[in-house]
Amino acid sequence: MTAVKKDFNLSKHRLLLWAPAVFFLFTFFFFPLFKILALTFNLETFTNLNNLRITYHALLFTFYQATLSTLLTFALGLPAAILFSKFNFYGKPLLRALTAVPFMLPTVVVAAAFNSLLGTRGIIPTLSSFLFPQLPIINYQFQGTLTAILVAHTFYNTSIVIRIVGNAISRLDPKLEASARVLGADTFHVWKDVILLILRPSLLAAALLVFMFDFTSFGVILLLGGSQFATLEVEIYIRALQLPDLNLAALLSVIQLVFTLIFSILYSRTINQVSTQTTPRFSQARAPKTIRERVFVITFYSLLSIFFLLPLISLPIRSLTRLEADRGQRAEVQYGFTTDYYEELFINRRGSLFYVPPVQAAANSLGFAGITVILSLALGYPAAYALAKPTRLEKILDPFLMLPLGASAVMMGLGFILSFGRLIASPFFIPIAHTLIALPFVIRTLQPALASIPERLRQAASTLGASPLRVWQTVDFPILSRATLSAATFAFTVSLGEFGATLLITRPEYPTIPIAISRFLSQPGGLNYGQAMAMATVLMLLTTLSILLIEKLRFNNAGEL
Amino acid sequence: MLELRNVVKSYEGKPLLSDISFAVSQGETICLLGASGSGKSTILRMIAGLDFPERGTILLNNLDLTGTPPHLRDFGLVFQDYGLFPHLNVFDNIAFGLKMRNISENEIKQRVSALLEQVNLSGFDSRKVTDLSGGEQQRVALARALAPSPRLLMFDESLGALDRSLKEDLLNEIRGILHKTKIPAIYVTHDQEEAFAIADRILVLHEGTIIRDAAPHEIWREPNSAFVAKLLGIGNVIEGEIIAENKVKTAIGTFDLNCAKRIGEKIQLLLTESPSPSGRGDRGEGEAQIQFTVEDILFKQNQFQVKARGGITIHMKNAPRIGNVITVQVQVKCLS
Repeated sequence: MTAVKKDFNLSKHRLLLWAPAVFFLFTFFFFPLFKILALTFNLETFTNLNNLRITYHALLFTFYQATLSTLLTFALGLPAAILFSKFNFYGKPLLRALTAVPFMLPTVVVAAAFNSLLGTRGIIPTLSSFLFPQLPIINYQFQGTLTAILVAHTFYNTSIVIRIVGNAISRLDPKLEASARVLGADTFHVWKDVILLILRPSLLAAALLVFMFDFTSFGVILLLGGSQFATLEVEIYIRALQLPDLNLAALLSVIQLVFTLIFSILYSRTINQVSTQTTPRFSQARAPKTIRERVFVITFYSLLSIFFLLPLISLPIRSLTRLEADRGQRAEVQYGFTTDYYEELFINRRGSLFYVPPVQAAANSLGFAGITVILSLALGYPAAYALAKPTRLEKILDPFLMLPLGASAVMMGLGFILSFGRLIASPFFIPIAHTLIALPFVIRTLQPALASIPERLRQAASTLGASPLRVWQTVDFPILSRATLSAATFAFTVSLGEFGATLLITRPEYPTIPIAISRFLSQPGGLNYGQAMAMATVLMLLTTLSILLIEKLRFNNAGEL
Repeated sequence: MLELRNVVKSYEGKPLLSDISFAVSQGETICLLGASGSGKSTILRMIAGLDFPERGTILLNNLDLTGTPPHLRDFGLVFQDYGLFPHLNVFDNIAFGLKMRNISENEIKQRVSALLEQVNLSGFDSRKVTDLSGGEQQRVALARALAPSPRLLMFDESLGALDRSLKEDLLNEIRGILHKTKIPAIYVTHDQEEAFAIADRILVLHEGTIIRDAAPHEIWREPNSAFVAKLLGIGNVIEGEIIAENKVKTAIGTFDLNCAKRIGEKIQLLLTESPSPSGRGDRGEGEAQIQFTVEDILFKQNQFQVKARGGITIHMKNAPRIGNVITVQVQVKCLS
């Protein structure tokens, strides 16, 4: 009897833990989602030939660019995965960290970085038009091309291939290759019949994940390609704001959602196969021996260093350099060190893009990020507590909490527009949108830390006379403080860099850093461009610092456990 | 016949194998015995073609194998942790080598089922190799290596991971198969019990060279060096000092023995129970009656293993009591 009663109390208690997060999700995620679905399931939307034509073309192009991006990412990622898992060389940990940086950078920063290097006002085109005026390279156009999109996607996602496939390669038992060779397999058959087949789940998982990211990519496509590259995501944005047709936007969103769901399901199936291969890890990385190996290592070492370092370096350099191609008779370049772009951020010019000095965007961003941190922790903590010791209820609710991960940011923005109409003029919807995106990460960071606290410690503390509050203070808090800081930083970083949802719901009076960067980039003039570079540099530094903090916290945590 | 001639190999700049020469003839099973890190596995890898000697040659029937890649050598190699292909089932693992040789489907089926029967795994065809026990996996690995009828079979610590009784069963099976197929085999291990159980000839590897190459019973009788005696657990190795031309003094007594050393030199001796019956007058060289105090007794394989003061172990038919003083006829031999 008492046991039953206790269970009942417990589940009531548990429901209370769930209530905030569930209520929040229902109001700001499922309700908007329902609104979108309601608009879609409307005969008119489906039978409009124009709608279907636009959807079809957007879908086709999305698949096209995602396929090309994935292929290009693998073309660089596979050799890189082999490089990192098979060989030891000078500076390996640093190069590995470098390749992982882009994955965590906001899309606007990556777009600005490539712009600073290869864009019309970028370092390479400007310098080459000065140095080699006779070469046709001056006419080379990077920005606004499919190439730009593909290159930026590769920049973003190579680390996924390195991580997933590289890990699988270094887990490969070298005896398998030896066995195959002795049994009569030549190099071709060793790869075809053994290595590739064993790596297949990892290759597939990496491909699916890269494809999914390329499929839902928004900021990179809009900022580097432009709105003529109408992927599903870009088309949703256009139909939501520029050429308003909310029915069509909703239809596109649903199509997008269906595909992301399919990819997510396929991905989680394949990644399960990867993790069930529990063969021990073989550290078979060694110095390159033969000439062929040395050439391979040197080639990809340089290629990766250049590809990942150049954009990241050129962005801060360009933000501090005046670099103007003179449009006069002779090809000349004006250049020099300047802090103008940074100083200009503090000036509220008449006729500028905003009603406020651009630095206000930074203040807004920090404010929104702060609210996001508080909100996502307030919602995430109780949910993570409940999830740390999952009952059947939690096992059902858990995937629902993670669902916002599968929805695109632009779609969330659209949902807000549909559900709250004029209300979204209030700046508070921005941190709410950011919290939706950050919440799954926050819960996934807190949950393992909470689950790791031994119940016996709590029991010991309470038998020694500690009140529940004291128990939390003395047992839970010290263990959790790291995870909390890590989760907070995560939420902070997500909010700082968020572009898609913010773009749809923001008002001109409340620009965030990414919005300001995108507006500066879309305007003519060297000063606007320079300010975009300056703001992107600031954002890159803030994000990098946050990432370093998270990495440090996670590392120390792992060391203690 | 496989032959190694003056093979030299170093590992990370340090000499590993300084001068290895030996041969394996048809139908013969040799065992390479050595401590871990002694380079036994490297010898196998070089024979398989997975690694290359820095100097010296490896020949098969007097043909130099240097230019032959591993997949054309027609050798079989069985690893300790089996090296089974996790993505293939039992049948496909065994069939792998046959498929590489473009053998017809029908023949592969027949051959694989015959092999499964041979290693007592009939009916395991479609099982996942990851679901098998260690012993079963080892049988699959053996069948896989046997399938293409290799010209030489190599075992690299193949049974090291298995428990004792399983190991003994498998050793007997492998011995039976090797005798039936007449495939020459090289068995690498650090375990002297395995070596004695399977080998026609034992090669002891120490500090880069083969220090002993003889049949098991010869090695047991004449280990010749303290290292081999200790490695194989033969008798007791004790230290002695030459005190006269024909006299060696040890902690347990003085023996009449000529070890071809100068007076005053220290020497390692092998002490065993004397083969000639005790109590008689005529003693062979190095024989003596020694009194021991019994410290511990252990019943082992039909006799008693008696631990005596001074760290000496002897074997007796009847158990003395702990603390008793016993008199035993022992023999010492010079070791290098």
